Amino acid sequence: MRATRRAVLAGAGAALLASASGSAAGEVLWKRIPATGERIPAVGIGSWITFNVGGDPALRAECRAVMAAFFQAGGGIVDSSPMYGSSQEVIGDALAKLNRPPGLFSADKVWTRSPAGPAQIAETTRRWGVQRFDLLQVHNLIDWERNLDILAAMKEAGRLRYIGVTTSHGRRHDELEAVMRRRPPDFVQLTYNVVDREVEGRLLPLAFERGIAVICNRPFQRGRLPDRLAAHPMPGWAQEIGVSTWPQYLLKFILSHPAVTAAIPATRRVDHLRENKSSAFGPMPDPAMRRRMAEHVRDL
Amino acid sequence: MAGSWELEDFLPFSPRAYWRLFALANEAAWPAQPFLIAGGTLLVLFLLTGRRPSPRWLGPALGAAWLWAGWQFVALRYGALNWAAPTLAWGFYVEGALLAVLGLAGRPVFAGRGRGARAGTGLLAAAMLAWPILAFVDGRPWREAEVFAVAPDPTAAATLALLAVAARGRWTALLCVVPALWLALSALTLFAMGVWQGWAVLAALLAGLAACAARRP
Repeated sequence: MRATRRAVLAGAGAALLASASGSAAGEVLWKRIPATGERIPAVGIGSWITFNVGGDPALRAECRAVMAAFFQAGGGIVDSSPMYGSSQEVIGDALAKLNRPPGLFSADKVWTRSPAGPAQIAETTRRWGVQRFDLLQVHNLIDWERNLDILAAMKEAGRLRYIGVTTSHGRRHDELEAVMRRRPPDFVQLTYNVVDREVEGRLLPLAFERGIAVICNRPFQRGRLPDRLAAHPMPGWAQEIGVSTWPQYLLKFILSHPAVTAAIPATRRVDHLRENKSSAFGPMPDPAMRRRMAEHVRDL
Repeated sequence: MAGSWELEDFLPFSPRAYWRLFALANEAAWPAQPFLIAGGTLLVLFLLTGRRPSPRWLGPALGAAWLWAGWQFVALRYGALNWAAPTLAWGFYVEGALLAVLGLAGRPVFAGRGRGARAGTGLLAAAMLAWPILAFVDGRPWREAEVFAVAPDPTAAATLALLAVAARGRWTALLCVVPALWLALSALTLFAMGVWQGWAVLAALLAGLAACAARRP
């Protein structure tokens, strides 16, 4: 499943999306991981801030309810990091109490200099309570060459399924591009949303060309985008793609890019989780509609 | 916006999770809070009537407050949300130990007079009596109230206030460092959280520093 950068840039997005998603119209959107062809739900869940609730039993119960709703809706990527405070422990606690439901695609990160990497990964594994991770990523490109060596060795030994590299807030794109060219990982994670679109220029076409799966973080700019858009009415033409709320609008925009594999919005509310998951249903915007969506938000 | 960081991007927790820490800390310390507030009220009245407390009991008492708040709140509870907090707790342990040891040695002498001491007494009243009300003013439950010796901010503000009542000296200046730094850091944290309480903490910091600067030898 390869395509040229020109094809992507030329806007043959609808056909490419169908190819990348492997889902028929009317079905929930799953997307293929280019490295293996494995299909995963396009809407995952992040844990930055929302799952960092320490040992608070009441807030942990809320997180568990969100996780339960997530798996009821098909599951997918659950993403965390050692940087996210107690989020890993909260996820591990929820998974144990939910009797390890099917549908988990476990994704975490290594966030330290190389000599400390294996110990941190072992601690992360203990907190999640998993046998092995589906995906481990080098967080914010920290010591990426040596950390990728560690992850590659784990993958070679069958202790890890996929390797990734992350960035966020539009930072260090040149370095990420260099990694993608020199040592293409299975996944990259980056910030992409309807207003932060710099990655459309080089990184997303490059990911598509090199067969690298893309996880999009900060789809709502930490909640600021839906808050800002809430003051405006939903345009009537959004009904054409089955959109009735701004979060659906924002997620459909991201998920409809042919290079994007998944978005990982974070939430601590079950109703928001269901709304996010609903974005993967129904028709997806074609390139013309995507342009219209971006221009509309820009002009508000 | 891509490519730029904002202060809030460095906070890995939500305001809701942060405020809930006080409820958990209060549960662990209950029923100490009524006694702490009553003790604070007596101390304010003690100062208002012109009497000066002995450092030999006030120093260890303040030290114990710092050790408890540092261990129970900053290290154990805040540390679960913020990986930097256990390191910050060491500042509380150092301040607590210094207050206790110096107090037993008779320092500092809480015998300051004039505007600085009066401002210090006012700030002490605010830290002991007004601070617990902030949660209620914010529309949050009483169980999230911030009480001296349980929560770090009123502990730091009360300490700055009492140091403003103390006579000038090297040790007094040294003891001001950790409370002032904590209040500055706390104000930044609260501003990053986008909550108005940051202004209250900043006001306490500025009032405490001004009161300390206005002390007479």
